[in-house]
Amino acid sequence: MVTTILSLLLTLQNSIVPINDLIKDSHAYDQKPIVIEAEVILEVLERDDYAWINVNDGSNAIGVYLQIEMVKDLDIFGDYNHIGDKVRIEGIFYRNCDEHGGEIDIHAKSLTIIEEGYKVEHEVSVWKFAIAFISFSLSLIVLLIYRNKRKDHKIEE
Amino acid sequence: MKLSTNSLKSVSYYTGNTMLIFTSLFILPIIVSIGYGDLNSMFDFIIAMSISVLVSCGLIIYGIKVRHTLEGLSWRHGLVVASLTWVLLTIISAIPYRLSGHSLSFLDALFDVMSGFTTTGVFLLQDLDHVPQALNFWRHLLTFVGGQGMIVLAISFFVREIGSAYKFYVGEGKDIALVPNVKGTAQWIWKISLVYLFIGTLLLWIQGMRLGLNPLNAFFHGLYIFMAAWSTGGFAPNYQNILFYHDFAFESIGLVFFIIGSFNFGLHFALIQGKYSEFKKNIEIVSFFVTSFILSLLAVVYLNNTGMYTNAISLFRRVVYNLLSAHTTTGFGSIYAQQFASDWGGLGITVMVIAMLIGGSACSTAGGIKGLRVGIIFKGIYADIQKLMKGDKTMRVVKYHHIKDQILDDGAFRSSATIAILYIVLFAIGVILTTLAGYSLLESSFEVASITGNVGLSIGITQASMPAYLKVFYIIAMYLGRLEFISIFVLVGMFFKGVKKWLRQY
Repeated sequence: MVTTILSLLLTLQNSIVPINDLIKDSHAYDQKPIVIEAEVILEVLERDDYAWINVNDGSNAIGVYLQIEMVKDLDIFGDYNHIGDKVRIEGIFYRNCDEHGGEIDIHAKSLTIIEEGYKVEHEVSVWKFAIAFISFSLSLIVLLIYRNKRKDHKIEE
Repeated sequence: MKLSTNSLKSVSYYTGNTMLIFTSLFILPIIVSIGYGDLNSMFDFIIAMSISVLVSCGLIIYGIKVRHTLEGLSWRHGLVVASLTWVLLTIISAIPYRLSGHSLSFLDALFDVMSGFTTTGVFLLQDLDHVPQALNFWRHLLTFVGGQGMIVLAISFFVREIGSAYKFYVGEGKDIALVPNVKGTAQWIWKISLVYLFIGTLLLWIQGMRLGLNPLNAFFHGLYIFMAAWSTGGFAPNYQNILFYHDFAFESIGLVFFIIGSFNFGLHFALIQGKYSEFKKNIEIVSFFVTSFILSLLAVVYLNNTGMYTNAISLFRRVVYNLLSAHTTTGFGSIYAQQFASDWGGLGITVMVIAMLIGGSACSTAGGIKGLRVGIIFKGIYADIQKLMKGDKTMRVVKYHHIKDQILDDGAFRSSATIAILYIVLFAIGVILTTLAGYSLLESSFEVASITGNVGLSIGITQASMPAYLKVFYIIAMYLGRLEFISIFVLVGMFFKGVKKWLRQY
């Protein structure tokens, strides 16, 4: 209860709320203005003049419903090869959104890119290459032994 | 149980062969990783594939001398082949998880693979939104193959029909014969699944593109969601599970396929043969619709009264959807784990626990006690009560319909009751162990019912930070629940016999 009141007070001062706190204390935040900062994941899902984006702040992920012009500056989306744009979203949190079939979501009023996303360079691991090469070579040798043994036993039978 | 060197060699030979056929699946994520230019993932899968080849060939070579005697492999050894194959493949399939760096420990990797194979769907993988495409592909492939069964896969590819194959097949928790030979049955199971795979992926792919996903992402998401739905697995490629798509149509396509996937392969085969009346008469289908209706009604009325969900669409998408997902043991969640705990209340959670424990149909991709057994138990109890009430001294034959009309005898009742009791005992042990870790009784019941029933919905207990002993117990519970106890008991019995014999010798 105390944590809920505290987090609500902080929210009222435009403080950033972790997404997991929104979900955990969904009754307290329901239909209240909130601010989150999170990474945009995968793609924009367009719906006529509106769109959905999914954002993840490391504590949890949530869907954000917003006007399509608000997403036009989004460029990089999070996946294995990318860290997506980090955005600050101000909006209203709904724990049971009537407009979207009872979904927990945020209806954004504003979206600001606070950190541009970037491509992640995955260095090729030399030790993985070495182990893969050795184990693959060994497995080929064992497959040959197996093939010969099988032939021998077929002849015996 | 006689444990001779020959029987060990027989078990070794068949386990190796089954594993070798499975090993070929590693080629698929390797192709995906090459397609994405992801060399690290490619090496991860090459390492795992090579180890799998080494172990499989080692086992085959050890047992190759007794291959001509294999027609006479006993039931016990057949069951051991099934359960041992599952253990070894779980360990090998976990290697790419751990090497990717997304599993915090090898135990976590084992947990995720067992969850996939058993079509449970809970996971401990970290940062799911950033995992490599090849690993995501592997997760969903494991759950798809696990749904039909690794043994079923292997039997489909056996060069010749072998007498012992039926014993492995039963060891994997399947016992229906679609055609007179087991190889033909296994091939039919795959044919049915692959036809649905094509249709389901296509529908979800198109819908994914309509949602705004680019064609490649839409294809992979369609494929993954179909694989997870059909196998009643419940995995999804992103952290928010089915909530990621924010789309009723996408959820509904998934819903249709997870319900169909939870039906007995015997029913699918009967429908292919034009026996449409089977759908109305089959005891499992009747049982499924009755329990689904009653449980959905209870949950809808309760959650409507609490004011949590106030309109029909919300009630369907958040309550009925999750209830059916639980009942079919799928585990797609259209609400967050925490919401079950905070919003669903005692009755809501109890209804979900019952649905998860009952599960889907026997010889399907679903888990749980199974509708067939629940139907038999209820019918048997009802017949006994009727007999007592009427003071009937004459013998009355009680029948049920499952593919054909069958007599409900003591044997059928006893075997159904035995498995149901074993599930409940496993559930009770799990609840005790989970409450010992500090979770409430209601939360523990929800999580353990999900684990033992191979469902995959979570109330928030399953996390990488949970105690290691719980992870180990949950791995064992998923395994026991999927293989339906008996083959694992035989494997454990054989192991202890072997240890005893070894101790006597030295």
